Amino acid sequence: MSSQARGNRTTSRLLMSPAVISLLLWMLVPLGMTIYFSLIYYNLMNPFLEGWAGLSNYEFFISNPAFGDAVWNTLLLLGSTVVITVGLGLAIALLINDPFPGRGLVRILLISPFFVMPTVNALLWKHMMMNPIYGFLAQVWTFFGAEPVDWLTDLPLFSVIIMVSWQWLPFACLIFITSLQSMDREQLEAARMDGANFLQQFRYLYVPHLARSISVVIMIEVIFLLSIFAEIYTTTAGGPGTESTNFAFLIFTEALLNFDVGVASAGALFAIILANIVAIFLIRMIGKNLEN
Amino acid sequence: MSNKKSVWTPTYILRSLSAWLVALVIFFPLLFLLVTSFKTELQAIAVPSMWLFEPTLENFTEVQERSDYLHYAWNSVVTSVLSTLLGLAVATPAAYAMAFNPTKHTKDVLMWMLSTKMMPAVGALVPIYILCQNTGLLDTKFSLIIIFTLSNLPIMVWMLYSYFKDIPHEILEAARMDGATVAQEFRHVLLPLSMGGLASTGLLCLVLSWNEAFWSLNLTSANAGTLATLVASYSSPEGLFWAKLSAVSVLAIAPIVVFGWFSQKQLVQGLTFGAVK
Amino acid sequence: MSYLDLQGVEKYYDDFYAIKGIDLAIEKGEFIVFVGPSGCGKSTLLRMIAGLEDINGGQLMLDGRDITHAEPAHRDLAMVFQSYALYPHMTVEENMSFALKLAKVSPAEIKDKVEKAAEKLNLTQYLKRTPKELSGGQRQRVAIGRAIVRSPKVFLFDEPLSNLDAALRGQTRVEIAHLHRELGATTIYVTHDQVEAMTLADRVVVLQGGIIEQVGTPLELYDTPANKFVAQFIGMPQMNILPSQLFRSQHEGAVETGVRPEHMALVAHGEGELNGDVEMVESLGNETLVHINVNGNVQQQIIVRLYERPNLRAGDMVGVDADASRLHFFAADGSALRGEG
Repeated sequence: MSSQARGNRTTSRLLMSPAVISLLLWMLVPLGMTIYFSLIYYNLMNPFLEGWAGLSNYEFFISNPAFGDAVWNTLLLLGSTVVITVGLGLAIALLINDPFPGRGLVRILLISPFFVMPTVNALLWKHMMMNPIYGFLAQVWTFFGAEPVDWLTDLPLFSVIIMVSWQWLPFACLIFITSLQSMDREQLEAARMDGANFLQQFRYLYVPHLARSISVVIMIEVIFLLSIFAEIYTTTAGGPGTESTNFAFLIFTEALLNFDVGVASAGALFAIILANIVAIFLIRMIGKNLEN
Repeated sequence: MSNKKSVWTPTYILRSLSAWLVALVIFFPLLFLLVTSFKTELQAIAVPSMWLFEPTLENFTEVQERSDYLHYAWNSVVTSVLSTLLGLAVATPAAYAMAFNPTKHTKDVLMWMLSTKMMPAVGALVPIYILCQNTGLLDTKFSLIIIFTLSNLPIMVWMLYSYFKDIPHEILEAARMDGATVAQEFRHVLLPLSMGGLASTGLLCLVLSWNEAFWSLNLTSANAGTLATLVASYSSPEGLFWAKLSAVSVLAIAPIVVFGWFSQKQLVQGLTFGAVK
Repeated sequence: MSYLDLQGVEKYYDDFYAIKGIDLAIEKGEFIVFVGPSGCGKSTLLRMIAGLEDINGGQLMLDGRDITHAEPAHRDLAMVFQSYALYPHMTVEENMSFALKLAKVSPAEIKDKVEKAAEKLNLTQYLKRTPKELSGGQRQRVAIGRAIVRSPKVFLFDEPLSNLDAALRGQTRVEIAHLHRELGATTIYVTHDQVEAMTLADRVVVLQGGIIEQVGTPLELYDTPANKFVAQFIGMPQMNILPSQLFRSQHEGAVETGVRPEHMALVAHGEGELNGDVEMVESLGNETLVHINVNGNVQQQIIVRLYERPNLRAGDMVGVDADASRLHFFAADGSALRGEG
């Protein structure tokens, strides 16, 4: 239904222009500069090396053995976190969907990690939870007679996944709870009359009802998790080796640790391509679900 | 919220207890952080962890004295509040136009906006760093405010768009029939009807800006540094001083966590992006 | 020139021609009803008159003034929306006074007008409430009140009763008719319900596919439909239409012949103009509807309306005679053929 344009198309464009233009600049200016830098020799430590580099920065970046690891780690970090938060989020949401004493307080406790800044999150887990000697998890392991795990050294990427999941689980969980509140009770009762067990109810009633919320959660998480940085920066610094280096961190290493702007820019372009691949994939899959 | 119909059946009790258990497990790290911040450094690393001790405020005073907590907190407040207001000012008209005056390309524009958010910030780091350096904006609150606004803008437009779309067109048409100008329609009809949406969007933007770490870590230091950078500065040399680290962490997150507790219902409602009616 | 004049009014969307040149002259004080099946363009046409949709071609004149491209607020029209579209955050009083306030009418005058309208609509005691606290019927009256206070030249109603339950619908219909008599205001009313059309209208405009099929008083449409579409659209149950060769009376050029259910009578099987078996008997108390498969053909089912209670049951064989003076003849293109046959 296209109603008569209120104040017509011009007004409409005028209203959108601040947002569109600023985002366009925000996208194009860095992109243009990045493309330019990626084609020249530009190393802050070596000002004498300059001039046209052609594609050599790209070659250098790809031939870096860390490149493949970084792609893999980025996707693994993203994928695992999404799976963990959506899975556990659904389970917890179903658990606290029905009223029980203190439900309001439980909600508040649950959402708290979402408000914690990534640097605090990372330091809290790195030291107080995951320290192999003094950390709380080590104490738990010892209590059960197990050998404490040196999380950040032995399972660096997994450790980062735990931190990120801890932060995003509350988000997923609370979105699902809100969505469950609007679930049609009569539908569930009808299903029970039809003899559907809980798994069948889950499969045929809850999941379809939650489909849109699940899409929203995945979308938001992908947007934020594709370029996780602070957690890695403050805990493992990408290591040991490149075991917990994701794309964002690899580029950071090139740019600010190796001072090679040219190579970092080439890397940034790869990151943008990767982001776009994921974005297209995602929008195809989920965009439909978000339409009415 | 207690339900009169619920009976104390074993399943009910079991379910309630497990819900509480899950909530406590998830909250536990924060509790641990809070408790540690009141310990002395020696108590902090005691194994097994101490739960009964004489609390001290020494860590907090030391954090303030040594690194001027209030300076960083002020920076966090200024940057997050101003970027939220700026973001709302830019996003609201755009979302309005998209929701009430859609064209064939509206969905594409929205998806494009969201896709800019998926671009890794690190890709833009070097150019932005150089731009800031050349314009003298490095380590200023101004540059952070602009950057926070830009990076939150796509989400804000999306959120407001889904809110506006739920407002019946006929109400706005009625206002037009009643003779309202665009400004009057906005002021008397749309704004009162979308207060909830604006609040949720603002809240999210506030939380995201407060917690933003990438740009503040890379673009600021002593002058415009936010709490996220203050905390990071305690990571390496002081990493072993758990009590002080905990104190600075508590100080950094307490304002936004408490704020979040009070506004969580509103915030979560908005975050469903219209997926839940 | 008439009061409200539509001259060749057109509307097209990108690839869809929605309103195909409408000519319509409406006199002052008339109650006009637009009726038609969903998607016929009746709501679009109303919204074009209201100014909520662009008019892409033709002219719209109100009281001698060209308002084709005027802003909705400057057309001197008021509209009652299907969903009522009340401002949820305002009280009844604020809802009704909003337009006047925007027009900078003095507070004393606003108060006076709102109070008078509220009284007329039985809303006086609800003035301080918000729409949430009202029943569907009350909301409907507030929506009407909001239109009344502006004393517009023309009232527009867009399916105003479709959100009410059956009992309330009947009652509100009577109220709207009463209000129209009292105010004498020119009114355009859109509905898909032919009962509303027949009972409220001075003249009914039947629309289909973006064109006017016929304009006329309710009885004109009923008695002399211009074509097969109008014939079948107006009247419950529908007019029976069968191939002309089944009937005794013929009309030159007629392909199909129609007859309304009440213009038929039952006779013994084999003796009727048409003969068949009874499919179903609907006894409604005041009348009985007999469904008959002509020649046992389910594709040729007709309904006969009787005002007595026949002793019939499904499967009985009957004959039917049609009142030869009340037949309608239709040419191959659906248009009605009149005059001597």
